[in-house]
Amino acid sequence: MRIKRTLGKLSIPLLSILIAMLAGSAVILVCGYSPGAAYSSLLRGAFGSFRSCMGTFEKCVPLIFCGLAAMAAFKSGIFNIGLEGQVVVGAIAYILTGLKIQFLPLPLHVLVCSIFAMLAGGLWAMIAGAMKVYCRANEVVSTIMLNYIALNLAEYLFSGPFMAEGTIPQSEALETSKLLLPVWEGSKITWAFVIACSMILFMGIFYRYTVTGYNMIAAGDNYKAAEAGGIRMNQTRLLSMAMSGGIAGIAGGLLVAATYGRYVIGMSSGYGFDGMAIAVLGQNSAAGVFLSSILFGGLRTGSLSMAMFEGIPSELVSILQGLIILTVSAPLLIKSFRIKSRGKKQ
Amino acid sequence: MVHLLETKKLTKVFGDFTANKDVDFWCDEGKVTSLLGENGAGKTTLMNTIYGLYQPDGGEIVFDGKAVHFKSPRDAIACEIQMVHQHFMLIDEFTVAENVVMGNEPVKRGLFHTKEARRRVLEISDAYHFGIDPALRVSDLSVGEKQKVEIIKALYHGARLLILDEPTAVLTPQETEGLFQVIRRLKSSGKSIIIITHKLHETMEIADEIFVLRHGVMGGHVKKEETDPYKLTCMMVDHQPREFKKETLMPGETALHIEELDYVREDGSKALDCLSLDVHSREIYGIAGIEGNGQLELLEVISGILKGWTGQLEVLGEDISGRTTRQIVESGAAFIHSDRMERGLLLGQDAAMNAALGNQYSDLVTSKHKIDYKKIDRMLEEIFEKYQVSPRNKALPLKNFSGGNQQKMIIGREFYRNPRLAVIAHPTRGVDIGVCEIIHESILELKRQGAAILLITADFDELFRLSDRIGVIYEGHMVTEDIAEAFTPTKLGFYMGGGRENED
Amino acid sequence: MNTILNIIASSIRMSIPLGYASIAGAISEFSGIVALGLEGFMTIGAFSGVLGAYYFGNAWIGVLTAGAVGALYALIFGVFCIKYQSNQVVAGVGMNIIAEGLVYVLMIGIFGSKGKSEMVDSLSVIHIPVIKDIPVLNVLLSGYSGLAYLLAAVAVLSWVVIYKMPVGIRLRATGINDKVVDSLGLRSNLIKYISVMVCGALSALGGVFLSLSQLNFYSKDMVAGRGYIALAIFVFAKKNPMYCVWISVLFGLTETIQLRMQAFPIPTQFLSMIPYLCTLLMLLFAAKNFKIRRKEHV
Repeated sequence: MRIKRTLGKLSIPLLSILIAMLAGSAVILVCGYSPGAAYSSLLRGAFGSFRSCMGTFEKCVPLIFCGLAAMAAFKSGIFNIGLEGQVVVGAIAYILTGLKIQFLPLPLHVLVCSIFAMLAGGLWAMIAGAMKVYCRANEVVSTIMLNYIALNLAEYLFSGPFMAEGTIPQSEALETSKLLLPVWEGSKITWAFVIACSMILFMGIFYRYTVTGYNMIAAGDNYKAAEAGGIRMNQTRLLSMAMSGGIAGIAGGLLVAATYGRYVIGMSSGYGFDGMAIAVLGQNSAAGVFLSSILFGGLRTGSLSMAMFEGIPSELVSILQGLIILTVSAPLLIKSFRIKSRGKKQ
Repeated sequence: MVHLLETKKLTKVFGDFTANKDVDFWCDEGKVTSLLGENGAGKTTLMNTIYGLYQPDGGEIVFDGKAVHFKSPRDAIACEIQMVHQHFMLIDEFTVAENVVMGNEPVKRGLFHTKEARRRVLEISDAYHFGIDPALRVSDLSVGEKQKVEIIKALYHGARLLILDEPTAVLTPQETEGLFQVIRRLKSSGKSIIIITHKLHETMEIADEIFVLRHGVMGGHVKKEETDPYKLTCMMVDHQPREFKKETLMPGETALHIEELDYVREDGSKALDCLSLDVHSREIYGIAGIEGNGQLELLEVISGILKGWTGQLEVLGEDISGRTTRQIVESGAAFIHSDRMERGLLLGQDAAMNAALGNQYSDLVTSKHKIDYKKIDRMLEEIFEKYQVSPRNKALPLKNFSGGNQQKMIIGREFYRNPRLAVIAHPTRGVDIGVCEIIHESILELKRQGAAILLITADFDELFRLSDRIGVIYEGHMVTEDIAEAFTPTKLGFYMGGGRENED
Repeated sequence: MNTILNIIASSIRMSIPLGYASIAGAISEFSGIVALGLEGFMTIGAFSGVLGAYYFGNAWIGVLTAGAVGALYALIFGVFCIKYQSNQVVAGVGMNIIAEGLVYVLMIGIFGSKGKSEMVDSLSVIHIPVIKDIPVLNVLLSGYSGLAYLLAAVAVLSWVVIYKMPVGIRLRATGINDKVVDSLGLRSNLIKYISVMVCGALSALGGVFLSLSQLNFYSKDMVAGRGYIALAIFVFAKKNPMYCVWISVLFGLTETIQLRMQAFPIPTQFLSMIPYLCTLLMLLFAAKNFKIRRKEHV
């Protein structure tokens, strides 16, 4: 019975991916490429070898955090489209703090910088959150505006006052001793991946067992009923926004600490929307976010090899991601697909 | 004689639930035909299928001697059939004229001809003595007036057959009589009318032909002259309605004390106006009133949802000004709001999540501040058993439960914590008679256990069956109050419509 | 004095894309469809306009192409929202992502470049016969691209249609309660489809103004969030097309100021922030109106 239910829950995301891939094939053809070549090179690039699998898992880290951040907002009924901006300010906070306290040992360094990253992301999200709660300003537009402001801010800081020597607009690099290192020699999986997995567990427990988590789910399902049930909407909304932004901020921090070692302008690109797609595909559950992040990580890694070996531009993958978001957003589409396929079987 | 409209063995199925089965129904031109049945019997489904909102799964519909197939209301409307729905199909922000003529708007040089629209509406309104001003916004009208607008709309678009779905549900006895006069006028001008209702006495008064629907199946057909309320009741229900013994217990201390409560809405209108009442433990105080006279605000003020009220308000002896909903609930109060979909349920969540709503801060559902699913399970078992909830599926999202079962879940979870004060609004709205009895029994049991109950309802049967004392609310103020036996439906209707004592 | 006139004229010029997009969004919102895909529609419009001009050598054909493609792209969005009952916010974001990726891939495929397309025929500026010789008025009223004058016509026309014609009554009713519209025997779904397509076409026109009027090529990220700013604009304007135009001009003013202040020693990035900060300010004062319609249960 339980297995049947889990399969049932999985069928929606799986079907969405299938439908998106079918639609994607049409788009790929129109653009003049071969769907077969595209998909096979994607698959090979993502999971084809041990090395590529490692690469996929490495790419997963910011995706997991962004997915969790999006999930935290969605579950509470909030549309936080400003994830990218929160990632950016989180990264800014991490690198600027990190450069100042390099005398600390690694674990402490990571901890302190992550806290700052989380606070930065949380506060950035809270701007939109407070506007929503106190001015009834719609959070979709305000978070997007904050995205652009954050991106401009980063560009200013790292081609200006905090720019490293040289011609590339980027920050100074952290010492290698302060970076999150691979778990074992030669692997690409860093401790950041471990942190990400713990975050997944934490979020799963948070929503299932804590009263605050319950309140957020109730608020997201029906805020009027939640209100009648004793839940304070203002507090809950602000907290959810802060949580969402904070998790995204950590994503930004880990981009600095594990992936790039510094702030590189443009490094946050796309993670925000990917996070949303991951949360939606993962049906707003921690386990779902984990699985979807692996898929999207695979798409990212695979897209690079697709570009290299087949000459198909990697941006094609973002079309696929958009299609997945579209199909997942439409429950009836999937239902009618299921009914059609069942009808054929009979 | 050829009937104007006839259904032959009409069947409508939703999934594995059969709403109508082999229903034979007809109505004649120039007559008033009543479709009588309890809540959930399938009356609205039958009419919606006739009107083209649903497609029949079996049987056929014959109009004016010819078989018809209405794919949508457009086709029914083309045959001059008009339906006035139970929930008004009106745009509050628009004027009466705009609402009535939409779909057949008079135009002048391509632009909407407001003057002509208003003239046409006034013409119909005068012909039937409605007295409606077409330039008014619908949001400014009373419920009775809105219903008249719906009828004007039906007549404007050319109705030969009017289907009225539960037209008296929201009317006072006086307004109901007014409606019946309108129906008689319509009849004398040659219109045919079908009334869907669950009210026996009104059927007896206005209908020529009566059809009784029971559990989706046609229970029987009689002419008014050939029947009486008792016979109709037997046709409507399976069993003898249970005799409710209303015990009058010794009232205890004051559990709810309201004195000169004022509340002003955002738009400046006064929802509650110097309202005072007291409810004691072991007593049920029923509030009668037309919807929109402050009942909603009263409930939301007492439950802590609305702030910014003035006056004195004590729940279980404690002043609640400045308190949150959580604190009020924790002090021993339970609330059942009138709109269960809006205020009562997390429709996308399963039974466990819903059972925890309102209880999530108490140790009924938590252990050491963590949600305890074992405790919730036990609670659900008890609720499922006591209230006969079906299906007993703990994983099913609440939106897939029927209205009656949803209501049982809400009452079950609120009463589970043995409240000392329960404020209950419309507990059996849209719920069939079997469930009705279960809910009423549980309310009476709560009273026996010593709770104080404030009951807000529009159903007179329910009001008289349960209440020890009754008060009438009008424009945010309690205009009268007495023991239940001192009132009759007519007297209640008088006060509900704004009558004052010295105007008798 | 001359400078003030020039600033006003420049503000009007800068406001055109926002004007189109905000009216487009308002129309969609009137029918009850949340207009989150505006950014994507504008992007698609800007790019397909360039394609049209590229293949047919004429800017106005580019404009027609943009309108047609915009309407079709919006139709897809409409199908998801209306037929498949999608969560409109999520679907809108999806459409924007697809648009961005699609345009990028096509750019590489057709023009072989990641950043800019080729130069194409652009819309010429129109000088109105008599007015162009009147001082003051000639700066304010003459010398704009054809699309600008078209916007004025669109604004007036949509105002008349929405508030003064039966079609407008039905449109507004659909957005408030589509069941009422259906119960009258009208087709609320058809109304929604049409308004979504009109939304797509108009926002595409806003986009194509950027690529064929202000410039004569398409460049990556040229829409730069205007689709989202337009959302805030029509909310603030209470969906009234005439107010949309005026508020867009105010935004055009901020863009003009941004350009002019580049001479000052303020970092360009802070100047770029101005429109977004203004939007935030506007949201603070708009309040009340916008409620994202999440899918109601049942």
